[in-house]
Amino acid sequence: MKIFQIALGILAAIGGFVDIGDLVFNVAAGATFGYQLLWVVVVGVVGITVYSEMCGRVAAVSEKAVFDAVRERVGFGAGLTTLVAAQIVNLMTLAAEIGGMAICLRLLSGLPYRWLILLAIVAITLVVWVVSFDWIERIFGYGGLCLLVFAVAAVKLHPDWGDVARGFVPHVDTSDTLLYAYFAVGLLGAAMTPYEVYFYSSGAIEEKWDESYIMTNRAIAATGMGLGGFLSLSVLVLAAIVFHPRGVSVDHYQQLPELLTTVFGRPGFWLVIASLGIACMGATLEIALSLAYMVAQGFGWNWGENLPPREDARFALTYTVLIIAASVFVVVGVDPLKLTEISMSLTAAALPIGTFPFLILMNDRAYLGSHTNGHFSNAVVLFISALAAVLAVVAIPLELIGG
Amino acid sequence: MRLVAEVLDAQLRDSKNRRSGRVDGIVLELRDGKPPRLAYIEVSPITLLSRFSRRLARWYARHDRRLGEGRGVATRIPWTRITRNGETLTMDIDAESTPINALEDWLRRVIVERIPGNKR
Repeated sequence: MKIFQIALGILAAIGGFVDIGDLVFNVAAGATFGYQLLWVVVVGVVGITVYSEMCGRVAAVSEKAVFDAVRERVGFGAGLTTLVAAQIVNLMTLAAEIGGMAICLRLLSGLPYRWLILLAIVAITLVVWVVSFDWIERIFGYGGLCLLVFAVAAVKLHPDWGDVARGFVPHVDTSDTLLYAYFAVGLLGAAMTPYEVYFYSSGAIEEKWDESYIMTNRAIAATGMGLGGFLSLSVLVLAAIVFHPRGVSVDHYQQLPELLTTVFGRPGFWLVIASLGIACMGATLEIALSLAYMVAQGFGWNWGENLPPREDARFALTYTVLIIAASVFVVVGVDPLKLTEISMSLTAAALPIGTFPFLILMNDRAYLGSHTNGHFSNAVVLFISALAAVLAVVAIPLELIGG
Repeated sequence: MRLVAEVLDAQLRDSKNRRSGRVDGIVLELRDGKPPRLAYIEVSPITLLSRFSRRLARWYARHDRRLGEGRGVATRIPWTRITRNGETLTMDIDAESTPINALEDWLRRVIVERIPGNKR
């Protein structure tokens, strides 16, 4: 049944919303500003849902992934610019995810971090070489549902629902507006990561979508991204309850287990490890594959995670090399959480680079026939890209100067 | 037919329906008293690079030439061997019989086939 392909939406969302960097960023946002930034997550969720629906629509109508279509319709120059921007930003995110896997293993075993990075690289390379797309989708898509434990914990701690509701109305109740804007940029960047949509549309091609999937695509995009956003909101609310009242500043991964141990005791620690492990590994696979998809589609190579590596040698070697290249960042000692923070902010700043070729494609009647964008979708994409870019241009340099 | 919009950069598939590169260039034949005719498409990094920098394309071709006979020049496919299906072009030739997939074949033979799990 088509609706079971919801796993694609869930996996795309989980890789985008609740990987280790996003978790720490959401936790830090909740700990620092309480519920104040909840509205930003909602803007991000609306944005990524609209983006994903469009990408799925391109795949269903043209039977081509989005980057394939961008290269074809907008040309090599625009395609190359988008490709280079996405590779630079997402390589940093990939590094952070590999670091996140090592952090999980460290929390679990207490062994030296750098050895665990090597273990994480071996594990991820093995999975991506041996497991087909269909099984990656099932294991990490449905497995990601264990992150719902954060929502359960938030409810069990009885938040003040009135305060939570006020968080969904944009307001600034702090003297540190710069830090507030910086967190807003990061949360938007976390939600609107381009690899999510490239992965989603390439996944639709892996699953051989056609025009009959138009409605299914809407349901999958809305449910998958909605779930990712819900998990992200849950983490932020939980952090606002656990850390904010005590004025605890969160800047280290070792603080994460406290989110669940407060509610579940020692089993909470294991739940955090399990959730983080699945989220980080799912995100690592998603990013490595989506970057390789983009390169293969850009140059017209044979590609497909459902194909054995010997049938798409360039594609298989591309994701392998990207995993190894990204891990260099963390092996030399760059903090994965700092990397995610930087990459999320850069994602927001770089959003317009990918947006314009994408919008040209989405309004191309020769390509999409009667399935081109309506005014609403165009307006949402333009508004969110502009908001993210303006916030990023204002907040990032000032925040960096101010430390 | 709008050559730049509909042919240039289009995905090319071979006779076994495998993705076999993109149309990196088009070659027109000039005819006396008649409109020009599309004679070939070119599928090659050399052509792609020459769209940005002829110097870079020459540099690539010089190095590619060292890899064997028939290398160092762009691969041309006669337009008569191509059928159009929407935005996708399909040639009635197996890509493995052309230099288009030379790099793919080399990587498969030299690296991928030596790694366990390559057949899944």
